[in-house]
Amino acid sequence: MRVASRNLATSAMSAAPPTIWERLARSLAPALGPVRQYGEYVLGGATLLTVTLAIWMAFLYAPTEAVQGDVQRIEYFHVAIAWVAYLAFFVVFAAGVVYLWRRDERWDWLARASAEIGTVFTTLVLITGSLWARPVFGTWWQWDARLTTTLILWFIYVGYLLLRSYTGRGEGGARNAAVLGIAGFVAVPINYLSITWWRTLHPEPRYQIGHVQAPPAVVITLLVAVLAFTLFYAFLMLQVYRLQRLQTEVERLRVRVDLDMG
Amino acid sequence: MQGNVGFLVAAYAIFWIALLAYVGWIALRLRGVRTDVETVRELLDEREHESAQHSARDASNV
Repeated sequence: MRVASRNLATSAMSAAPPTIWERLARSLAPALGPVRQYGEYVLGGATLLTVTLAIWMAFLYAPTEAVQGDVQRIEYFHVAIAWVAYLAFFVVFAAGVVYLWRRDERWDWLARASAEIGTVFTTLVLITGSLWARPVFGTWWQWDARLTTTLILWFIYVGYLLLRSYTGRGEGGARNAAVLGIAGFVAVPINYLSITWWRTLHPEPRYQIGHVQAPPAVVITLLVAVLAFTLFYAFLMLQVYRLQRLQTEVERLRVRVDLDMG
Repeated sequence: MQGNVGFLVAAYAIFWIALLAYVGWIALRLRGVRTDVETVRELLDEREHESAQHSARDASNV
């Protein structure tokens, strides 16, 4: 019984015949052992290294912008975490689609973890953006297209997390959240394209492919920051996913205890 | 616009404090849920042990 309780996710699916991916995962399991054992440490080390490098490059390697001065250095982290927020919400969307298709709770844990991290990063995008706008544009906030759609995006994913906490860990809650995660993702391309669709206070992108309007040192620093925070996101995903799995496990164990008592 | 280093320092300080606080919160939640899992498992093991003893006693009485 104990073994069964430890393998909640796998036991839930053991009734169905294994798919080609499950068979592939089983055959690769021995080879993936060291990756599982040390992969997290390698990822943590790589994250620490690239984040340290990104900080060094943002402050010491990248040149000072002629008009804005040092405050422009906020851009390196602001843009990088905005990218991570988009990535996180794409993962919520993709995991929601796969969850509705496969009804495998592991995809739900993935979506939930990604939504939480994406919301934290969007909060930081709003804060750093506001601190950058004040000295450059003379205002903390303006109800223009980019800023407003970012705030709407933030509300959508805060709503997603609230829905999760109210509906619990049942299948119904997971299904509703998957639908919200899929529908909510519509706000991401609108948010990205808002600066080209409408006139906004927010500057237009300087780093579009084929239209780079910045010195190489600026672009390299930004790319390193994007890599650093993508690795940071992956590291956080491992932790929050594990948290989701354990929270589900403890909830099921409690149900068993209650049944035993009953 | 030059000389707005205060905003830069504030942005990076808030950014890192918030991010590290979030990492710390994850660590605390993980520790809490691991303790919960262990506690509930021990409780379940005790229950199973007790019910096994009851069954054995009933069988010997029969």
